Amino acid sequence: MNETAVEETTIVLKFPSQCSLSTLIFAQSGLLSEFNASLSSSCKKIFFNCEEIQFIRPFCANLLSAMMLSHLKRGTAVFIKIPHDQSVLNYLKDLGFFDEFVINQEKVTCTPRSTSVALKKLESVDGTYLGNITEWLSYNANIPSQVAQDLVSINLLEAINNVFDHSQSEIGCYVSAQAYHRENRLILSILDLGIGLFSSLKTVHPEIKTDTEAISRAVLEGVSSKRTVEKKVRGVGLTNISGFLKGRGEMEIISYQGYWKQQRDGAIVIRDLSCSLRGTCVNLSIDKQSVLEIVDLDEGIWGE
Amino acid sequence: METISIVNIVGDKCTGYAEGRKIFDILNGLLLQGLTIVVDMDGISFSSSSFYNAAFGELIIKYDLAFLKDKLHFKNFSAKDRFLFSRSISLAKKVKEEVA
Repeated sequence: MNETAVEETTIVLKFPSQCSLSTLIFAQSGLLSEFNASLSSSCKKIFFNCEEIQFIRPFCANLLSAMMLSHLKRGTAVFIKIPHDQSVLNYLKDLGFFDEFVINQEKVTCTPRSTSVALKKLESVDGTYLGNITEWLSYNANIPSQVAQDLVSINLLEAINNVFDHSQSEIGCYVSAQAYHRENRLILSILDLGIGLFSSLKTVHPEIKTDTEAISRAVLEGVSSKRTVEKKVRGVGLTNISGFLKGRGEMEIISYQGYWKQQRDGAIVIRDLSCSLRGTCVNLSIDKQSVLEIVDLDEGIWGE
Repeated sequence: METISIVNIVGDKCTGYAEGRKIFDILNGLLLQGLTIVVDMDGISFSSSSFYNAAFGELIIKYDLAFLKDKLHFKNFSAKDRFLFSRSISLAKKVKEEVA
């Protein structure tokens, strides 16, 4: 990848100054629809213009990476204009973003931060990565090791399993995590560019008509394309995350034009989006203090 | 009484359906012999609902619940294990009702 002059066969995707879920998904920056169009175009080069970014959330770092990789896999020449804002640039460096891609053939020094886990592309359920993120939670977010393991099992592993069981994503998935110490909050973000929940469910649940409806159904106990086809006990992954986070945090799922959010009190917010996020993104916001009480989960194991 | 150490069979990461299926096959074989089993989760780092669904949820489909409660016992079950197990059992009961 390198910076060159923009030619006619080149598409430019410009990231907004505030790169968050709300600016990209709700404010209709145009980025998502331009990206979707770029995938079906015959462009030879694509520029990801990040020059104006002044603030970026983990979800957006995942999204930028996934967009770049999906074009690289199509054989498009991919270029990036790096952020002018030094703090954003350093954040991306420290997140390991530049380790994922060779940029200007220069070695970029990555200084891991205590507040964020390096961005990671997974092509399968990676036990080593689960171990690494558990270690990070334990040391940097100051969560007891056993609780960190449980947190990863119940939340992250379930979301990652969903990607590899259902999404058919060509790029696997990107995972990132961030600790916000002042807010006592952890953010985990998992993004794939797969077929989405609607396409996954509609063949076995033809009554589902929209992306939002598909997400709402996918979170219910026992709703899984594999369960219906294979007549197996499957389909509690997202249900478990949702059940666990009630009173402990928030959960957002975006898949194509569907948006679903479970608030801390368990209330559900749904929206039909005007722009489409290819694939599925699961964002988990976890109240750190509340997960320290995970040892108090009181479950009668036989469900009585 | 037979003790089954999960870590010795599938390692410390019970992440998916395949690992659970291995455990199902072993437990099913022992239950067919009428043996009482202790399932020991000691040393397990990560486990998922897919694992519990395959290992234990499918047993619910095949056997009577009272029989399983009598024959299956658990050791070193963490809060997370109970959380995931109980939800797989809940789903399995529903699936069993549908299949019946």
